[in-house]
Amino acid sequence: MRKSRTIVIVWSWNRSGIGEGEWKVSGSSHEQDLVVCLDLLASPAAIGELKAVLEEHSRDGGEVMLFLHRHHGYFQEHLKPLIHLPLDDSHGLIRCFLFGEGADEIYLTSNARGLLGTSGTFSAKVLFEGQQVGLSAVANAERRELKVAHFDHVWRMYRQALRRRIYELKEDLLSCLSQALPTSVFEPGEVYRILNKAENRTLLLRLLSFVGRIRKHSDLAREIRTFERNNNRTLTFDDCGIQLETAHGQLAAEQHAVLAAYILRNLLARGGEVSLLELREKFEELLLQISGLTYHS
Amino acid sequence: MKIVLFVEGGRQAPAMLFEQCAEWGVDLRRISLANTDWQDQLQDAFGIMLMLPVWGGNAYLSSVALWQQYLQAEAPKARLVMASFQSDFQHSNHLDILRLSDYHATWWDDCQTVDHMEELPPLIGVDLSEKLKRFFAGHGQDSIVAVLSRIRLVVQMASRELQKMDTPYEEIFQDLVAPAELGLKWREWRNRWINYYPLFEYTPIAANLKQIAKLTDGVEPWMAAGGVDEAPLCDGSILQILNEVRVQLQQIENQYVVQKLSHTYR
Repeated sequence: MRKSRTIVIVWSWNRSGIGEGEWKVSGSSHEQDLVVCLDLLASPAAIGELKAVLEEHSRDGGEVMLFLHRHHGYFQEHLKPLIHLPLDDSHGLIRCFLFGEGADEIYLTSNARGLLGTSGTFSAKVLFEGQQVGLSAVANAERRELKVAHFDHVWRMYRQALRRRIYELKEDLLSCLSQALPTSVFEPGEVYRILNKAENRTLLLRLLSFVGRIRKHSDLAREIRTFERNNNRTLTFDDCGIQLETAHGQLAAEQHAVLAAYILRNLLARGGEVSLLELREKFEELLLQISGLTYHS
Repeated sequence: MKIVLFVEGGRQAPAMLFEQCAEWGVDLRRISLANTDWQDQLQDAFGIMLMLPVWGGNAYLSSVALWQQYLQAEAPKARLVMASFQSDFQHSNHLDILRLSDYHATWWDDCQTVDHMEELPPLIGVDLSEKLKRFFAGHGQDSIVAVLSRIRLVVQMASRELQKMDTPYEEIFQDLVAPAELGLKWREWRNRWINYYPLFEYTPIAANLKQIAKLTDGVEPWMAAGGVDEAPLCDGSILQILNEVRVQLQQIENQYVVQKLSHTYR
Protein backbone atom coordinates (compact mmCIF):
# COMPACT_ATOMS: atom_id res chain seq x y z
CA MET A 1 0.00 0.00 0.00
CA ARG A 2 1.21 3.49 -0.81
CA LYS A 3 2.45 5.54 2.10
CA SER A 4 0.18 8.29 3.29
CA ARG A 5 0.77 11.93 2.40
CA THR A 6 -0.53 14.57 4.75
CA ILE A 7 -0.50 18.33 4.31
CA VAL A 8 -1.02 20.19 7.59
CA ILE A 9 -1.88 23.86 7.12
CA VAL A 10 -1.87 26.29 10.02
CA TRP A 11 -3.82 29.26 8.68
CA SER A 12 -6.80 31.55 9.32
CA TRP A 13 -9.50 28.90 8.99
CA ASN A 14 -11.70 30.02 11.85
CA ARG A 15 -12.17 33.76 11.58
CA SER A 16 -14.06 33.93 8.31
CA GLY A 17 -13.24 30.65 6.68
CA ILE A 18 -14.44 27.07 6.61
CA GLY A 19 -13.10 26.19 10.05
CA GLU A 20 -10.59 23.62 11.23
CA GLY A 21 -10.82 19.94 10.34
CA GLU A 22 -9.67 17.31 7.91
CA TRP A 23 -10.21 17.10 4.15
CA LYS A 24 -9.67 14.04 2.02
CA VAL A 25 -8.46 13.95 -1.56
CA SER A 26 -10.89 12.75 -4.23
CA GLY A 27 -10.19 9.52 -6.12
CA SER A 28 -9.75 5.95 -4.93
CA SER A 29 -5.97 5.98 -5.30
CA HIS A 30 -5.74 8.87 -2.87
CA GLU A 31 -7.42 7.36 0.17
CA GLN A 32 -4.21 7.77 2.14
CA ASP A 33 -3.89 11.49 1.40
CA LEU A 34 -5.17 14.11 3.76
CA VAL A 35 -5.21 17.85 4.37
CA VAL A 36 -5.41 18.88 8.02
CA CYS A 37 -6.57 22.46 8.65
CA LEU A 38 -5.47 24.01 11.95
CA ASP A 39 -5.74 27.56 13.24
CA LEU A 40 -3.12 27.86 15.97
CA LEU A 41 -1.30 31.03 16.93
CA ALA A 42 2.39 30.46 17.63
CA SER A 43 3.01 29.50 21.27
CA PRO A 44 4.80 26.72 23.16
CA ALA A 45 1.44 24.94 23.48
CA ALA A 46 0.85 25.21 19.74
CA ILE A 47 4.30 23.79 19.00
CA GLY A 48 3.50 20.89 21.36
CA GLU A 49 0.22 20.29 19.55
CA LEU A 50 1.93 20.41 16.17
CA LYS A 51 4.56 17.90 17.30
CA ALA A 52 1.77 15.49 18.18
CA VAL A 53 0.06 16.02 14.82
CA LEU A 54 3.33 15.43 12.97
CA GLU A 55 4.06 12.31 14.99
CA GLU A 56 0.62 10.89 14.33
CA HIS A 57 0.59 11.48 10.58
CA SER A 58 4.19 10.40 9.95
CA ARG A 59 3.56 6.92 11.40
CA ASP A 60 4.25 3.89 9.19
CA GLY A 61 6.42 5.89 6.83
CA GLY A 62 3.77 8.53 6.15
CA GLU A 63 5.16 11.76 4.73
CA VAL A 64 4.00 15.07 6.15
CA MET A 65 4.28 18.64 4.97
CA LEU A 66 3.55 21.31 7.53
CA PHE A 67 2.74 24.83 6.41
CA LEU A 68 2.91 27.57 9.03
CA HIS A 69 1.35 30.94 8.36
CA ARG A 70 3.76 33.75 9.19
CA HIS A 71 0.96 36.02 10.37
CA HIS A 72 0.14 33.47 13.05
CA GLY A 73 3.49 34.40 14.58
CA TYR A 74 5.65 31.63 13.17
CA PHE A 75 9.22 32.20 12.05
CA GLN A 76 12.35 30.21 11.30
CA GLU A 77 13.12 29.30 14.92
CA HIS A 78 9.80 27.43 15.12
CA LEU A 79 10.85 25.10 12.31
CA LYS A 80 13.84 23.57 14.09
CA PRO A 81 12.07 21.62 16.86
CA LEU A 82 9.46 20.43 14.39
CA ILE A 83 11.91 19.23 11.74
CA HIS A 84 14.15 17.61 14.37
CA LEU A 85 11.41 15.66 16.15
CA PRO A 86 13.04 12.64 17.84
CA LEU A 87 11.08 9.96 16.00
CA ASP A 88 12.15 6.42 15.19
CA ASP A 89 12.81 5.17 11.65
CA SER A 90 9.28 3.88 11.19
CA HIS A 91 8.16 7.48 10.81
CA GLY A 92 8.24 9.10 7.40
CA LEU A 93 9.78 12.35 6.26
CA ILE A 94 8.55 15.64 7.71
CA ARG A 95 8.99 18.91 5.85
CA CYS A 96 8.06 22.30 7.26
CA PHE A 97 7.49 25.55 5.40
CA LEU A 98 6.62 29.09 6.33
CA PHE A 99 4.17 30.84 4.07
CA GLY A 100 2.14 33.99 3.98
CA GLU A 101 0.93 37.17 2.39
CA GLY A 102 -0.52 35.46 -0.65
CA ALA A 103 2.79 35.07 -2.44
CA ASP A 104 3.52 31.38 -2.13
CA GLU A 105 2.73 28.53 -4.47
CA ILE A 106 0.22 27.12 -2.02
CA TYR A 107 -2.15 30.00 -2.80
CA LEU A 108 -4.60 29.78 -5.67
CA THR A 109 -3.89 33.44 -6.32
CA SER A 110 -0.25 32.59 -7.08
CA ASN A 111 -0.80 29.27 -8.74
CA ALA A 112 -3.98 28.03 -10.40
CA ARG A 113 -3.25 24.56 -8.98
CA GLY A 114 -2.76 25.80 -5.43
CA LEU A 115 -4.89 24.94 -2.44
CA LEU A 116 -5.56 28.06 -0.42
CA GLY A 117 -8.05 30.67 -1.49
CA THR A 118 -8.99 33.83 0.29
CA SER A 119 -10.11 34.16 3.93
CA GLY A 120 -9.72 30.61 5.15
CA THR A 121 -11.16 28.83 2.12
CA PHE A 122 -10.04 26.59 -0.71
CA SER A 123 -11.35 28.92 -3.43
CA ALA A 124 -10.46 32.31 -4.85
CA LYS A 125 -11.19 34.76 -7.61
CA VAL A 126 -8.19 35.85 -9.66
CA LEU A 127 -7.69 38.31 -12.46
CA PHE A 128 -6.31 36.88 -15.69
CA GLU A 129 -5.72 39.32 -18.53
CA GLY A 130 -8.38 41.62 -17.14
CA GLN A 131 -10.94 38.87 -16.64
CA GLN A 132 -12.05 37.61 -13.26
CA VAL A 133 -11.73 33.84 -13.00
CA GLY A 134 -13.00 31.66 -10.15
CA LEU A 135 -10.61 28.98 -8.93
CA SER A 136 -11.31 26.24 -6.43
CA ALA A 137 -9.43 23.28 -5.01
CA VAL A 138 -12.64 21.68 -3.72
CA ALA A 139 -13.85 18.53 -5.47
CA ASN A 140 -16.85 17.88 -3.24
CA ALA A 141 -17.67 20.21 -0.35
CA GLU A 142 -20.24 17.90 1.25
CA ARG A 143 -17.81 15.00 1.42
CA ARG A 144 -14.98 17.38 2.32
CA GLU A 145 -12.87 16.29 -0.63
CA LEU A 146 -10.22 18.28 -2.46
CA LYS A 147 -9.16 17.92 -6.10
CA VAL A 148 -6.33 15.46 -6.72
CA ALA A 149 -4.59 17.74 -9.23
CA HIS A 150 -4.34 20.54 -6.65
CA PHE A 151 -3.11 18.29 -3.85
CA ASP A 152 -0.55 16.61 -6.13
CA HIS A 153 0.66 19.88 -7.54
CA VAL A 154 1.24 21.49 -4.16
CA TRP A 155 2.89 18.32 -2.88
CA ARG A 156 5.25 18.19 -5.86
CA MET A 157 5.97 21.90 -5.81
CA TYR A 158 7.01 21.89 -2.17
CA ARG A 159 8.81 18.54 -2.28
CA GLN A 160 11.18 19.99 -4.82
CA ALA A 161 10.84 23.58 -3.65
CA LEU A 162 14.37 24.01 -2.39
CA ARG A 163 16.06 22.41 -5.36
CA ARG A 164 14.01 24.55 -7.69
CA ARG A 165 14.62 27.76 -5.73
CA ILE A 166 18.37 27.15 -5.58
CA TYR A 167 18.48 26.32 -9.28
CA GLU A 168 16.57 29.50 -10.12
CA LEU A 169 18.91 31.54 -7.94
CA LYS A 170 21.87 30.08 -9.82
CA GLU A 171 20.39 30.82 -13.23
CA ASP A 172 19.34 34.35 -12.30
CA LEU A 173 22.68 35.12 -10.68
CA LEU A 174 24.68 33.85 -13.67
CA SER A 175 22.35 35.73 -16.04
CA CYS A 176 23.03 38.91 -14.11
CA LEU A 177 26.81 38.54 -13.76
CA SER A 178 27.33 37.24 -17.30
CA GLN A 179 26.29 40.66 -18.60
CA ALA A 180 29.86 41.66 -17.71
CA LEU A 181 31.42 39.04 -20.01
CA PRO A 182 34.17 38.75 -21.21
CA THR A 183 34.97 39.53 -17.58
CA SER A 184 34.43 36.24 -15.82
CA VAL A 185 36.63 36.89 -12.82
CA PHE A 186 35.60 39.86 -10.70
CA GLU A 187 37.85 41.88 -8.38
CA PRO A 188 36.99 41.81 -4.65
CA GLY A 189 33.91 43.96 -4.03
CA GLU A 190 33.04 44.25 -7.73
CA VAL A 191 30.16 41.78 -7.60
CA TYR A 192 28.68 43.55 -4.58
CA ARG A 193 28.71 46.81 -6.54
CA ILE A 194 26.75 45.10 -9.32
CA LEU A 195 24.29 43.50 -6.90
CA ASN A 196 23.82 46.82 -5.16
CA LYS A 197 22.31 48.39 -8.27
CA ALA A 198 18.58 49.11 -7.99
CA GLU A 199 17.68 46.71 -10.82
CA ASN A 200 19.37 43.83 -8.98
CA ARG A 201 17.72 44.47 -5.63
CA THR A 202 15.63 41.27 -5.63
CA LEU A 203 18.65 39.18 -6.47
CA LEU A 204 20.62 40.76 -3.63
CA LEU A 205 17.79 40.02 -1.18
CA ARG A 206 17.54 36.41 -2.38
CA LEU A 207 21.27 35.95 -1.82
CA LEU A 208 21.00 37.45 1.65
CA SER A 209 18.15 35.07 2.41
CA PHE A 210 20.12 32.13 1.01
CA VAL A 211 23.02 32.82 3.39
CA GLY A 212 20.63 33.37 6.31
CA ARG A 213 21.25 37.10 6.71
CA ILE A 214 17.68 38.34 6.73
CA ARG A 215 16.27 38.64 10.23
CA LYS A 216 12.58 38.21 10.93
CA HIS A 217 10.53 41.40 11.10
CA SER A 218 13.45 43.38 9.68
CA ASP A 219 13.08 45.93 6.88
CA LEU A 220 14.83 43.47 4.56
CA ALA A 221 12.35 40.73 5.48
CA ARG A 222 9.46 43.06 4.69
CA GLU A 223 11.09 44.12 1.46
CA ILE A 224 11.60 40.60 0.13
CA ARG A 225 8.03 39.68 1.08
CA THR A 226 6.85 42.62 -1.00
CA PHE A 227 8.83 41.33 -3.96
CA GLU A 228 7.30 37.89 -3.41
CA ARG A 229 3.80 39.33 -3.34
CA ASN A 230 4.37 41.40 -6.45
CA ASN A 231 5.89 38.53 -8.40
CA ASN A 232 3.73 35.66 -7.11
CA ARG A 233 6.91 33.75 -6.43
CA THR A 234 8.60 32.40 -3.32
CA LEU A 235 12.08 33.89 -3.14
CA THR A 236 13.13 33.27 0.47
CA PHE A 237 15.18 30.37 1.82
CA ASP A 238 13.86 29.96 5.33
CA ASP A 239 16.32 27.85 7.26
CA CYS A 240 17.77 26.38 4.08
CA GLY A 241 20.56 24.41 5.78
CA ILE A 242 18.23 22.61 8.19
CA GLN A 243 15.68 21.87 5.49
CA LEU A 244 18.39 20.41 3.28
CA GLU A 245 19.82 18.31 6.06
CA THR A 246 16.42 16.88 6.95
CA ALA A 247 15.27 16.15 3.46
CA HIS A 248 18.55 15.41 1.63
CA GLY A 249 21.18 14.55 4.23
CA GLN A 250 24.33 15.90 5.80
CA LEU A 251 26.25 16.29 2.53
CA ALA A 252 23.62 18.62 1.13
CA ALA A 253 23.76 20.76 4.26
CA GLU A 254 27.57 20.85 4.07
CA GLN A 255 27.54 21.83 0.41
CA HIS A 256 25.06 24.57 1.22
CA ALA A 257 27.37 25.82 3.95
CA VAL A 258 30.31 25.91 1.50
CA LEU A 259 28.35 27.87 -1.09
CA ALA A 260 26.78 30.19 1.50
CA ALA A 261 30.23 30.98 2.92
CA TYR A 262 31.59 31.71 -0.58
CA ILE A 263 28.66 34.03 -1.35
CA LEU A 264 28.86 35.76 2.01
CA ARG A 265 32.60 36.32 1.79
CA ASN A 266 33.07 37.13 -1.89
CA LEU A 267 29.76 38.29 -3.36
CA LEU A 268 28.22 40.12 -0.43
CA ALA A 269 31.51 41.49 0.93
CA ARG A 270 34.99 42.41 -0.30
CA GLY A 271 36.50 39.06 0.64
CA GLY A 272 38.15 37.80 -2.51
CA GLU A 273 37.73 37.68 -6.26
CA VAL A 274 34.74 35.91 -7.76
CA SER A 275 35.11 33.48 -10.62
CA LEU A 276 31.88 32.74 -12.50
CA LEU A 277 33.07 29.23 -13.28
CA GLU A 278 33.85 28.56 -9.61
CA LEU A 279 30.52 30.02 -8.53
CA ARG A 280 28.67 27.83 -11.00
CA GLU A 281 30.60 24.77 -9.88
CA LYS A 282 29.66 25.36 -6.24
CA PHE A 283 25.99 25.71 -7.15
CA GLU A 284 26.13 22.55 -9.24
CA GLU A 285 27.83 20.61 -6.45
CA LEU A 286 25.04 21.61 -4.10
CA LEU A 287 22.34 20.73 -6.64
CA LEU A 288 23.98 17.32 -7.11
CA GLN A 289 23.28 16.60 -3.44
CA ILE A 290 19.59 17.44 -3.74
CA SER A 291 17.82 14.48 -5.25
CA GLY A 292 14.78 14.67 -7.47
CA LEU A 293 13.71 16.68 -10.45
CA THR A 294 13.96 20.45 -10.51
CA TYR A 295 10.61 20.70 -12.28
CA HIS A 296 7.81 18.35 -13.11
CA SER A 297 6.41 18.64 -16.59
CA MET B 1 27.82 36.03 -42.56
CA LYS B 2 25.74 33.18 -41.24
CA ILE B 3 22.32 34.40 -40.08
CA VAL B 4 21.15 32.79 -36.84
CA LEU B 5 17.74 33.69 -35.42
CA PHE B 6 17.87 34.13 -31.66
CA VAL B 7 15.11 33.32 -29.18
CA GLU B 8 16.12 35.02 -25.95
CA GLY B 9 13.34 33.25 -24.05
CA GLY B 10 12.30 35.77 -21.43
CA ARG B 11 15.89 36.41 -20.35
CA GLN B 12 18.62 38.86 -21.15
CA ALA B 13 21.49 37.38 -23.09
CA PRO B 14 24.91 38.95 -22.46
CA ALA B 15 26.04 41.46 -25.07
CA MET B 16 29.22 39.42 -25.33
CA LEU B 17 27.26 36.58 -26.96
CA PHE B 18 26.34 38.87 -29.87
CA GLU B 19 29.87 40.29 -30.09
CA GLN B 20 31.45 36.86 -30.03
CA CYS B 21 29.05 35.58 -32.68
CA ALA B 22 29.91 38.55 -34.91
CA GLU B 23 33.61 37.67 -34.54
CA TRP B 24 32.79 34.14 -35.66
CA GLY B 25 30.97 35.51 -38.70
CA VAL B 26 27.53 34.87 -37.25
CA ASP B 27 24.80 37.50 -37.40
CA LEU B 28 22.72 36.72 -34.32
CA ARG B 29 19.25 38.28 -34.76
CA ARG B 30 16.68 38.52 -32.00
CA ILE B 31 13.23 37.51 -33.20
CA SER B 32 9.74 38.07 -31.85
CA LEU B 33 7.49 35.02 -31.89
CA ALA B 34 4.26 36.93 -31.36
CA ASN B 35 3.77 37.06 -35.13
CA THR B 36 4.94 34.77 -37.92
CA ASP B 37 7.46 37.11 -39.65
CA TRP B 38 10.34 35.06 -38.29
CA GLN B 39 9.22 32.09 -40.36
CA ASP B 40 10.12 34.00 -43.54
CA GLN B 41 13.52 34.91 -42.11
CA LEU B 42 14.17 31.27 -41.31
CA GLN B 43 14.36 30.37 -45.00
CA ASP B 44 17.68 32.27 -45.35
CA ALA B 45 19.01 31.43 -41.91
CA PHE B 46 21.79 29.07 -40.88
CA GLY B 47 19.71 28.11 -37.88
CA ILE B 48 17.97 29.09 -34.67
CA MET B 49 19.66 29.66 -31.34
CA LEU B 50 17.68 29.23 -28.11
CA MET B 51 18.81 30.65 -24.81
CA LEU B 52 17.94 27.91 -22.34
CA PRO B 53 16.13 27.31 -20.20
CA VAL B 54 13.37 29.72 -21.14
CA TRP B 55 11.74 31.79 -18.39
CA GLY B 56 7.93 31.93 -18.45
CA GLY B 57 4.93 31.33 -16.20
CA ASN B 58 7.21 31.75 -13.15
CA ALA B 59 9.32 28.72 -14.00
CA TYR B 60 12.25 27.72 -16.17
CA LEU B 61 11.02 25.83 -19.20
CA SER B 62 12.55 23.59 -21.84
CA SER B 63 11.29 24.43 -25.31
CA VAL B 64 13.90 22.45 -27.25
CA ALA B 65 11.78 19.43 -28.20
CA LEU B 66 9.07 21.65 -29.67
CA TRP B 67 11.62 23.60 -31.70
CA GLN B 68 13.22 20.40 -32.88
CA GLN B 69 9.84 19.13 -34.08
CA TYR B 70 9.08 22.39 -35.81
CA LEU B 71 12.42 22.54 -37.61
CA GLN B 72 12.29 18.88 -38.58
CA ALA B 73 9.09 19.63 -40.47
CA GLU B 74 9.80 23.11 -41.78
CA ALA B 75 13.59 23.49 -42.08
CA PRO B 76 15.37 20.16 -41.56
CA LYS B 77 18.68 21.53 -42.82
CA ALA B 78 18.70 24.31 -40.22
CA ARG B 79 20.81 24.07 -37.05
CA LEU B 80 19.20 24.19 -33.65
CA VAL B 81 21.82 25.77 -31.38
CA MET B 82 21.34 25.79 -27.62
CA ALA B 83 23.08 28.36 -25.42
CA SER B 84 22.95 27.96 -21.66
CA PHE B 85 24.80 28.12 -18.34
CA GLN B 86 24.51 24.36 -17.89
CA SER B 87 28.06 22.95 -17.74
CA ASP B 88 27.07 19.28 -18.08
CA PHE B 89 25.05 19.78 -21.26
CA GLN B 90 26.88 17.38 -23.55
CA HIS B 91 25.74 18.05 -27.09
CA SER B 92 27.49 19.13 -30.30
CA ASN B 93 25.08 22.04 -30.73
CA HIS B 94 25.42 23.37 -27.19
CA LEU B 95 27.21 26.61 -26.43
CA ASP B 96 28.33 27.18 -22.83
CA ILE B 97 27.82 30.92 -22.32
CA LEU B 98 30.45 31.08 -19.59
CA ARG B 99 33.10 29.55 -21.85
CA LEU B 100 32.56 31.42 -25.12
CA SER B 101 36.30 31.96 -25.57
CA ASP B 102 36.80 28.17 -25.75
CA TYR B 103 34.89 27.98 -29.05
CA HIS B 104 36.16 28.83 -32.53
CA ALA B 105 34.51 29.92 -35.76
CA THR B 106 34.86 26.36 -37.05
CA TRP B 107 32.56 25.12 -34.25
CA TRP B 108 29.62 26.33 -36.29
CA ASP B 109 30.60 24.15 -39.23
CA ASP B 110 30.41 21.11 -36.96
CA CYS B 111 26.93 22.00 -35.71
CA GLN B 112 24.50 19.28 -36.68
CA THR B 113 21.52 19.99 -38.89
CA VAL B 114 18.17 19.12 -37.34
CA ASP B 115 17.63 16.11 -39.57
CA HIS B 116 20.91 14.61 -38.31
CA MET B 117 20.95 15.87 -34.78
CA GLU B 118 22.09 13.52 -32.02
CA GLU B 119 19.72 12.81 -29.16
CA LEU B 120 19.32 15.59 -26.64
CA PRO B 121 20.56 15.05 -23.09
CA PRO B 122 18.13 15.57 -20.18
CA LEU B 123 17.40 19.26 -19.88
CA ILE B 124 16.46 21.19 -16.80
CA GLY B 125 13.12 22.94 -17.05
CA VAL B 126 9.50 22.03 -17.51
CA ASP B 127 9.34 19.95 -20.71
CA LEU B 128 6.95 21.89 -22.91
CA SER B 129 6.39 19.04 -25.35
CA GLU B 130 4.95 17.02 -22.44
CA LYS B 131 2.88 20.01 -21.40
CA LEU B 132 1.54 20.32 -24.92
CA LYS B 133 0.58 16.64 -25.00
CA ARG B 134 -1.41 17.15 -21.82
CA PHE B 135 -2.90 20.29 -23.25
CA PHE B 136 -4.52 18.10 -25.89
CA ALA B 137 -4.91 14.75 -24.24
CA GLY B 138 -4.58 15.13 -20.52
CA HIS B 139 -6.66 13.11 -18.16
CA GLY B 140 -9.89 15.04 -17.69
CA GLN B 141 -8.47 17.81 -15.55
CA ASP B 142 -5.90 18.86 -18.09
CA SER B 143 -7.39 18.48 -21.54
CA ILE B 144 -8.35 21.86 -22.81
CA VAL B 145 -9.67 20.51 -26.09
CA ALA B 146 -12.24 18.34 -24.32
CA VAL B 147 -13.70 21.35 -22.54
CA LEU B 148 -13.82 23.43 -25.68
CA SER B 149 -15.42 20.59 -27.66
CA ARG B 150 -18.24 20.34 -25.12
CA ILE B 151 -18.91 24.05 -25.43
CA ARG B 152 -18.77 23.99 -29.21
CA LEU B 153 -21.18 21.06 -29.39
CA VAL B 154 -23.85 23.00 -27.50
CA VAL B 155 -23.32 26.10 -29.63
CA GLN B 156 -23.46 24.05 -32.82
CA MET B 157 -26.71 22.37 -31.81
CA ALA B 158 -28.27 25.64 -30.74
CA SER B 159 -27.20 27.34 -34.00
CA ARG B 160 -28.70 24.53 -36.06
CA GLU B 161 -31.98 24.72 -34.17
CA LEU B 162 -32.11 28.47 -34.58
CA GLN B 163 -31.06 28.77 -38.21
CA LYS B 164 -32.42 25.62 -39.81
CA MET B 165 -35.37 24.60 -37.67
CA ASP B 166 -36.61 28.14 -36.95
CA THR B 167 -37.13 27.25 -33.30
CA PRO B 168 -37.65 30.38 -31.16
CA TYR B 169 -34.51 31.24 -29.20
CA GLU B 170 -36.38 31.35 -25.88
CA GLU B 171 -37.18 27.69 -26.34
CA ILE B 172 -33.63 26.80 -27.43
CA PHE B 173 -32.23 28.71 -24.52
CA GLN B 174 -34.49 26.97 -22.00
CA ASP B 175 -34.06 23.46 -23.39
CA LEU B 176 -30.46 23.48 -24.53
CA VAL B 177 -28.31 26.50 -23.70
CA ALA B 178 -29.30 27.18 -20.08
CA PRO B 179 -29.01 23.51 -18.94
CA ALA B 180 -25.57 23.34 -20.58
CA GLU B 181 -24.34 26.02 -18.15
CA LEU B 182 -22.09 27.62 -20.74
CA GLY B 183 -20.92 30.25 -18.25
CA LEU B 184 -19.57 27.53 -15.97
CA LYS B 185 -18.04 25.58 -18.84
CA TRP B 186 -16.41 28.71 -20.16
CA ARG B 187 -14.90 29.47 -16.77
CA GLU B 188 -13.53 25.94 -16.75
CA TRP B 189 -11.92 26.57 -20.15
CA ARG B 190 -10.47 29.88 -18.94
CA ASN B 191 -9.06 28.19 -15.83
CA ARG B 192 -7.28 25.59 -17.92
CA TRP B 193 -6.13 28.14 -20.44
CA ILE B 194 -4.44 30.09 -17.60
CA ASN B 195 -2.32 27.03 -16.85
CA TYR B 196 -1.01 26.74 -20.37
CA TYR B 197 -1.04 29.93 -22.35
CA PRO B 198 1.88 31.75 -20.64
CA LEU B 199 4.16 28.74 -20.96
CA PHE B 200 4.36 28.75 -24.75
CA GLU B 201 5.36 32.36 -25.37
CA TYR B 202 8.82 31.38 -26.64
CA THR B 203 7.89 28.40 -28.73
CA PRO B 204 7.02 28.08 -32.43
CA ILE B 205 3.31 27.93 -31.53
CA ALA B 206 3.28 31.31 -29.79
CA ALA B 207 1.59 33.09 -32.70
CA ASN B 208 -1.11 30.39 -32.95
CA LEU B 209 -1.87 30.66 -29.25
CA LYS B 210 -1.96 34.43 -29.42
CA GLN B 211 -4.49 34.12 -32.23
CA ILE B 212 -6.60 31.72 -30.13
CA ALA B 213 -6.46 34.11 -27.17
CA LYS B 214 -7.63 36.95 -29.40
CA LEU B 215 -10.45 34.86 -30.83
CA THR B 216 -11.70 33.63 -27.47
CA ASP B 217 -11.67 37.17 -26.06
CA GLY B 218 -14.34 37.87 -28.66
CA VAL B 219 -16.78 35.30 -27.27
CA GLU B 220 -16.02 35.98 -23.62
CA PRO B 221 -18.98 38.31 -22.84
CA TRP B 222 -21.50 36.01 -24.54
CA MET B 223 -20.20 32.93 -22.75
CA ALA B 224 -19.90 34.66 -19.38
CA ALA B 225 -23.55 35.68 -19.67
CA GLY B 226 -24.46 32.04 -20.24
CA GLY B 227 -25.49 32.53 -23.89
CA VAL B 228 -28.54 34.70 -23.15
CA ASP B 229 -28.08 36.95 -26.16
CA GLU B 230 -29.61 35.50 -29.33
CA ALA B 231 -27.94 37.78 -31.91
CA PRO B 232 -24.36 36.34 -32.00
CA LEU B 233 -25.78 32.86 -32.25
CA CYS B 234 -28.21 33.91 -34.94
CA ASP B 235 -25.58 35.57 -37.13
CA GLY B 236 -23.28 32.59 -36.64
CA SER B 237 -20.41 34.62 -35.20
CA ILE B 238 -20.01 32.55 -32.04
CA LEU B 239 -19.84 29.26 -33.92
CA GLN B 240 -17.49 30.78 -36.48
CA ILE B 241 -15.06 31.85 -33.75
CA LEU B 242 -15.19 28.45 -32.07
CA ASN B 243 -14.56 26.81 -35.45
CA GLU B 244 -11.54 29.03 -36.04
CA VAL B 245 -10.20 28.14 -32.59
CA ARG B 246 -10.70 24.49 -33.43
CA VAL B 247 -8.77 24.85 -36.67
CA GLN B 248 -5.88 26.54 -34.86
CA LEU B 249 -5.80 23.80 -32.24
CA GLN B 250 -5.94 21.07 -34.86
CA GLN B 251 -2.98 22.62 -36.68
CA ILE B 252 -0.93 22.63 -33.49
CA GLU B 253 -1.87 19.10 -32.58
CA ASN B 254 -1.16 17.72 -36.05
CA GLN B 255 2.29 19.24 -36.10
CA TYR B 256 3.51 18.77 -32.54
CA VAL B 257 1.66 16.00 -30.81
CA VAL B 258 3.12 12.91 -32.43
CA GLN B 259 0.58 10.44 -31.13
CA LYS B 260 -2.87 11.78 -31.72
CA LEU B 261 -4.41 11.24 -28.33
CA SER B 262 -6.76 14.10 -27.93
CA HIS B 263 -10.40 14.28 -27.25
CA THR B 264 -12.12 13.92 -30.61
CA TYR B 265 -12.81 17.18 -32.38
CA ARG B 266 -16.48 17.45 -32.98
